[in-house]
Formats: sequence, structure tokens, C-alpha cells
Amino acid sequence: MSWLVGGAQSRNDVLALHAPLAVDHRRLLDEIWGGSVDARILEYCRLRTATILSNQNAWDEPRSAAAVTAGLDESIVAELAQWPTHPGFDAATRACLGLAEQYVIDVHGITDTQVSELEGLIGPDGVVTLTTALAAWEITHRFDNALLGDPSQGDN
Amino acid sequence: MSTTPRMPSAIDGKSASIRTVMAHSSAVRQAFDTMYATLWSNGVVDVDVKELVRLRNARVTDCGL
Repeated sequence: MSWLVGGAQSRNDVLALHAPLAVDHRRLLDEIWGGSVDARILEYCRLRTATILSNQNAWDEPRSAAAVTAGLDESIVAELAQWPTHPGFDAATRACLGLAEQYVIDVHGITDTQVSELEGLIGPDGVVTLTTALAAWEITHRFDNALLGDPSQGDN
Repeated sequence: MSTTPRMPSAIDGKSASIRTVMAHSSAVRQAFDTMYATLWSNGVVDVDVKELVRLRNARVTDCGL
């Protein structure tokens, strides 16, 4: 629960305080999920960055509908921390997860080679979509942490 | 930190910049631009305060742009 709005239970409740921004935020996410990158990969990246940024809310909310439609496998989601070696993650997924981790841990550590390899796997439109998605989710994770708090702590 | 764009421009005849690179995914870019415009033009926070926050954030994240 947020301390910002009495009774707010979710991110959407808080975002509703600024309706035009909420609409635009939703539209951006819709474009990202409907873009060229496999929605399962996007969901892996969203959840992985949530873990690194300690946003339990992102794990507790329903999975992306687009990712579920694309065949998201919860048994693979459960192995997300093992993505560098687990056989359930292919080359494109690993490249995306590698960029996602670097993006939130130390964005200046991203290399020319890393981006070039990623472009070869998901195309330039995919790189732009993924990078924008990472920006959107970093905002979301930090927004949740700042205004919703950690549901496991019970004091937010 | 790279000092040159890592991605090519999506627009013929235009050099690589955040605008021309994001054009590889035009729908995403348009949605992002719309949200960004709303951030600046709507709400109760003064524009000068938003700019101070933007600059401070850029300093903290070492964004040279």
C-alpha cells in the first residue's frame, strides 16, 4: 500500500493521480509489448531488472499478457537467475538479459561489441524497443519502490 | 562510455542521434515522445523545477548529453 494515496493498492492507483501521464505511460508499454521483441524475452528482462532493483511488486503482479500469450513458461521464469548457463535461455534471450543487467547495474559498462551482437540477434528495431523497455521498467521499478514500498515489509 | 553512436540512423541522410536511432522503432519512439511531452507540459510541478531535477539526474547518472 502506498503512503502517498490513502487506500492505493497498486501502481495504477498512484498513477491515476496524474491521469494524462498514466494514459501515456500505458500507451508506451502497449507499444513496447506489441513491438518486434519476443514478449517472453521482454518479460524475462522486466522480472530480472525487478530482482536487481528489489521491486517485489513486479513479481507479485500478473505476468505480461503478451508474454503469456507468447507461451511464457513459469518453470523457465523460476530459473531466471541462472540465465547465463540454463539451457532454457537461447542466444537472443541471453544477449537481452545481459544488456538488461548491465543497464541497471552500470549502464556505462555496456560495450560496442555487446550492442553489435545484440543488433545481429534482434535487429536495430529490437535494440531500440528493448532499450526503451529497459528505461520504462527502470522507471517503473523505482516508482514502485519509492511510492508503493515493499509488500513483504508490511509497513508501506 | 562510448563517445560515438552505437546504432545507425534509421533515416537516410541523417546522422545518428537519439532521434534518428529511435526511429528504428517509430511507434515506440512516438509513444515515448508523447509521454515525455506530457511530463513537461502537464502537472503541478513547475517547469524550472523539472529542469533542475533533469539536470541533477543527468549529473548523477553521468549523462553527457
